[in-house]
Amino acid sequence: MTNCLTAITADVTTQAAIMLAMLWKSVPAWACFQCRQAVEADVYGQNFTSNLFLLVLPLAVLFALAVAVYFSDAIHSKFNSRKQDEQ
Amino acid sequence: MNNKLKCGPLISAGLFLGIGLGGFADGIVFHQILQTHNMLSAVIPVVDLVSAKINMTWDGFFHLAVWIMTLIGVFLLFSAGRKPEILWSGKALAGSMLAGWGLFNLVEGIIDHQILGIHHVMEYAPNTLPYDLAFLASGVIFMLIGWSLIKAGHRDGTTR
Repeated sequence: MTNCLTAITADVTTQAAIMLAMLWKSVPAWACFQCRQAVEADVYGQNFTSNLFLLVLPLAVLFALAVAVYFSDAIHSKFNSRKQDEQ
Repeated sequence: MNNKLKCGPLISAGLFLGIGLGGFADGIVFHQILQTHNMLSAVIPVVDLVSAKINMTWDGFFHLAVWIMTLIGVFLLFSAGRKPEILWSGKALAGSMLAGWGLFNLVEGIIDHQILGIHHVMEYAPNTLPYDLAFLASGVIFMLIGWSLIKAGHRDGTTR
């Protein structure tokens, strides 16, 4: 069962990685031949990195908060044991 | 209340799911159905087909990011369900998801709408502030309701 789950996870991860790689290098606006070049030039132009940063920034903050909650039990018990040591 | 139960992993899973699904709710309702704004509609105003497609691409990157957050939530939930020492409560999970959605509205609203100004909830309204404030208020309300559900779930103190 564990081997099956591992195989499925590896397969899904590989497919997701391939899809992300294709998306990263893909041409936007495949459906519109006339506007394709203008769209690609603007999206992947000199402002790409700064726009990506602006877009990802709130999600990075949210990610950090959710990860902090994941470790909240360990942080809480460490804080309590330190408090008891001081007493 | 069972103080020995760990609740961080379940709540974290719920937060990731809430952030992801809240992001999808924003993207689907406001960006696609109602089309009141796009991710960069204040920076790149939607005035023609090219600018609309540029914004659509950036919306796509946004949806990709919240899809990843949702996927992380699913993995964390499955992981939490396999550990007997982790709190397993429907109320706590539902509360965490609602709190995650509220957190998304609050954080994204403050950073994107107020500080960076890259878009507003109602981009094409004469005064965008009331809608932005309503969006922030919804985040606070969701978080408060979510928090009360989490506390109720923690009080039940059940495991899988």
